[in-house]
Amino acid sequence: MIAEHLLLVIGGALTANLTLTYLTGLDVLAETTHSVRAATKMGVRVGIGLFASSLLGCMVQRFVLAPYELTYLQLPALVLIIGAVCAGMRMYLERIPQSEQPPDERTAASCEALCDAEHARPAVYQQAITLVGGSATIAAALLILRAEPTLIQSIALSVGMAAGLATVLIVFADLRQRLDHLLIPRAFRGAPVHLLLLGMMALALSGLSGIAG
Amino acid sequence: MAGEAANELRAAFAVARPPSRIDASAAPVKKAAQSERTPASGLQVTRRLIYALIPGSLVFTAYFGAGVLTNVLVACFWALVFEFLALLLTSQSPSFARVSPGSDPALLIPGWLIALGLPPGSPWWLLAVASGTAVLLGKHAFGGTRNSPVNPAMLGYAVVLLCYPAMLSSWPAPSGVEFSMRSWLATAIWTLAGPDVDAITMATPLDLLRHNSGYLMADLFTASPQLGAAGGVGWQEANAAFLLGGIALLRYRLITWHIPGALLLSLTVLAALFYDEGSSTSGGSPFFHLLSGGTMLAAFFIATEPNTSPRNARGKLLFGALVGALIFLIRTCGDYPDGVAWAVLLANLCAPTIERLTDPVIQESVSARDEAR
Repeated sequence: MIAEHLLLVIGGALTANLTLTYLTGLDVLAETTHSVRAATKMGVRVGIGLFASSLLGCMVQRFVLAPYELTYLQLPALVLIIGAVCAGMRMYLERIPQSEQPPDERTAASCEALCDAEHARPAVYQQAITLVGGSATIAAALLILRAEPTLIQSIALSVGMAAGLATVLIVFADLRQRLDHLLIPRAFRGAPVHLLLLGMMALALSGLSGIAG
Repeated sequence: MAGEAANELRAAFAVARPPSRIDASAAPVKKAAQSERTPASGLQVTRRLIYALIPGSLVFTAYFGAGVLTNVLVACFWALVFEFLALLLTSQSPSFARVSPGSDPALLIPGWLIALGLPPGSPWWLLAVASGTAVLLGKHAFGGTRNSPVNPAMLGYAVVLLCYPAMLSSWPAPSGVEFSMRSWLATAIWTLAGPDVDAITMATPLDLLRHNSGYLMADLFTASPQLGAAGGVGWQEANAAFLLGGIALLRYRLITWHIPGALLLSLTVLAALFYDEGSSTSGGSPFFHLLSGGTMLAAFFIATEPNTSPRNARGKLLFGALVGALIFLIRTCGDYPDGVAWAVLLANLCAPTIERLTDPVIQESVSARDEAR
């Protein structure tokens, strides 16, 4: 019983890794791995959002959509749930003292207008990603619902997926930090080498296929 | 026109600093070796690494035929060819002197390691794909050996394992079990023209254990002569020889004891914990895991590569233990029979994180940089 759920956690984190197996959450990855601290923060935040929204999604699916045969409304329902979770998280984050979290009073529309401003960019993007949750959150919810799990199984899966995503963010941030010190050939500098590195991570992780069942 | 294009290409690949990075300091000399009174030169390091690899390679050849040596020759040839190509693109004045094995140990060693990992007598193109990936993507895309985040040899090996899984499972039967020794000529033809369909192949011991779960260990050993006494005929002897080579590396002070020690210990402990001496589902005995597959090669020659492993002692211990645990996990639960390449790649990618978590100085510098942003 416990071993079974532990396998689900491991499977969710490693063999069904959101970033490296399903290529979702790359927006979060690109925007927050410039520093280890931002990546850690983002990993925790997206992890919590992902866990909460997939859990809520599972409950809605089980108690509302499935009994009334409304499963075709799964996607809009998930979007609503994720929106609500992100709004809740935002409200919570805004209460944190300023030194840790710059309050962002701007609306989503003005976010995009401000993207070009160098200084505002990381904060604005982080907020935007927390709000939307990135593609990873909705992918996780859909993947979990597709497996038709019980409530405990869905908790195990979402914990695993959140941990996997957070780990990839942190490991990638550390690797990026290391690359910053190096002289990379000009043709590969920046995005190409990051994509190459991401490919290597996906390749390495594919070696673990099969370990979770 | 063509000249202009070539110049542009060259400029795009050019590295900002003068192309003198392939020098003695590029040698994988560990901190311990650097603090020696007379640091080893590049040529010396290469020579010592090759000396350490020779006994194991010879034992392999004795058991698996001339294909091992043709593998080494062909893979090293391709490694040099791709190195020359990469130098042509990255530096203004490529010369044969720069691709001489003495200038950089990372020239021949990846080719050699790939050759030992692939089945003996692999076709030339397989070795070319593996060496090309290792040299071009694993090394030069990042600007040279010292910058590479993963072990180039294992990258090349992993790519061909993913692309041609069938080719990599056709190991010849070891001599003494079934007569499969081929002449040099036959091996050369095989390498050039593709594998011989009539060749006697046999599952490697790890393959055998992976695909025969649910048997009694004793029955499996009686039914399969290639399992030998502990880790498989040929494999156990080769692993013992690589262990000797590894001890030589320790004596030369090219590596420190931390990574091999932690790796072998974690593999032994895990194997001992899960092995129940009866069913083959529980994975082999600790001896089997230590003496089968690429364990010793990984412990002393692959995981210890200084550029892709942590530099501090605690980090090294953690890194080694991680590699050992991953090898055991992949061997017993994963889809691949031997997890050495995957384990090393995964641990390589985690190395910066391990280093940051175990070294307060690095942790401070990283948080200072974050602060500055």
